[in-house]
Amino acid sequence: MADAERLKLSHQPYLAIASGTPQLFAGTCEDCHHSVFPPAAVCPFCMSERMVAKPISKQGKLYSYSLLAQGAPEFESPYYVAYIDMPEGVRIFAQLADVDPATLACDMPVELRLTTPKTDRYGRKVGQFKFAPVARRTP
Amino acid sequence: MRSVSIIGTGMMRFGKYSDTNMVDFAWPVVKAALVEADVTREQIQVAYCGSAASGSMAGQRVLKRLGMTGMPITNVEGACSSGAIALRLAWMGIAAGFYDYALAFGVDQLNLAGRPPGLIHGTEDWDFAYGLVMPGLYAMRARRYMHDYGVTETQLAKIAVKSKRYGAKNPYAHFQEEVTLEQVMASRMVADPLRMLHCCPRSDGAAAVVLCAGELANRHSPKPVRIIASSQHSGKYMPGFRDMTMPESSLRTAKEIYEQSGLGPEDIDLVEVHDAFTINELLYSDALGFSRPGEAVKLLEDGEFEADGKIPMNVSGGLNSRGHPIGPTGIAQVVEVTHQLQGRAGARQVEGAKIGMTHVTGGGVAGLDHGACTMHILGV
Repeated sequence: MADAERLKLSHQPYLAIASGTPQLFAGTCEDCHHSVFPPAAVCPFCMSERMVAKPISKQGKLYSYSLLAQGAPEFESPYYVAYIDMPEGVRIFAQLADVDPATLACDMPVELRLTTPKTDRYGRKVGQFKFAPVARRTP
Repeated sequence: MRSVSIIGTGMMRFGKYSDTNMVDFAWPVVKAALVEADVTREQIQVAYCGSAASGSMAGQRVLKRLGMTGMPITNVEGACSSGAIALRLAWMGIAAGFYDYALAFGVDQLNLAGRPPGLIHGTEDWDFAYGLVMPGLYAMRARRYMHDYGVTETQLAKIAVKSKRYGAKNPYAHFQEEVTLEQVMASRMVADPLRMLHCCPRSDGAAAVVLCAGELANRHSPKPVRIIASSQHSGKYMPGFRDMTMPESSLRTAKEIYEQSGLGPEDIDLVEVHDAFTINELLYSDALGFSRPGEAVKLLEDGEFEADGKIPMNVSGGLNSRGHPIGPTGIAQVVEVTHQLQGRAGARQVEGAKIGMTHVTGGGVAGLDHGACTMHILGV
């Protein structure tokens, strides 16, 4: 594979936004079928370079979380951070939105939300998405 | 493989030394280790320096002050494991027969370093680029551990009370004041559920040891301390699910060091673990086999982590009280265990200690539980 092509793959988007709806992508290996997030040009399980973008579910399970009183200087503190386990077998680090501290708990369902991005110190747009607890349906 | 012994130690009180530079506070520590080992600087054939926040060539910059140049000097960066890896390399050099005498030391000055450079990654590290900080990572481990095993915030706070109580007995500790449970529970929140007094301070400091081939040790020290075993691993990249209550790199390193030494958790008289945050004592007690998964808190509640308990845990005050300058932290643990085994640990002495263990992890890298884990077993 040409270097330019490889570089392009390394930077394949992890997020697409269509009509206000966010969609996350994992990198999935066509040889061993493992997935990684964010997408990568080479599979860490088998070193295959046959990696393709695969859409990730909108809903996952909250593995753990913390409210950072003083987080990274690029972000406005306090903010919630979390690890979210997705049905595709990847764990995603993300910030949380619309949290009710009284009901927040490990293993609760959370869903992808679009948020207003900020520019980080590398000039990249970050915070384009967060996860939020799935709203309880009123009977 | 040749036997290797520690024959000299150098240590300083960790703390804030913002009005000086790391070279000025590190050279006396190195010199003290040489003096205690009763070796000349010319006898030292090789030096390894662990540092993560002091820029390039920290070892040369410190050692030139003592005229200790010309020999191979290797600078080691492994985040919080830097010093322990430096020691391991010195051990390997003597064990393999390349050298008879070696110096291993660590130095860093976090108070002038800004954000710890070892913890800043390029744009490729997803977690840190998107807002993770080290207290947040451990807070999430704590949250999950509490969820899985029913551990409470009060129990976590008791770990800080214990650490500070031992720090008050350690003249090398950054914090030397006891705190009450109420003070811990009222200290400001850093990363829920971890409060300020649950977290190690960012310190400045240096620590050093002189090693030599076992057969030469009795010429230099009335009570040399043997390095029984040494083990180092990197964390495995696991982009999928992982159990954050059971740090896998510590689990593998412990398994290997027990196999190497022929010893088990029941043989260890005291342990220094990487308690950058209170939850770590529970995580690593489980991983190192002192307790079954989720049961470490029972050892804490029963007083088994105390100096007269079943497995004295961080009776130096640990990173929580002694401080955590990164580079020298792993060496400071080894200095503490050496002093304990030599019966010179003063008010925090573990009576009759014959075998001690050190454990230090290193670094946050997305997808790895830690960048590094380094352990040593020492004995007299």
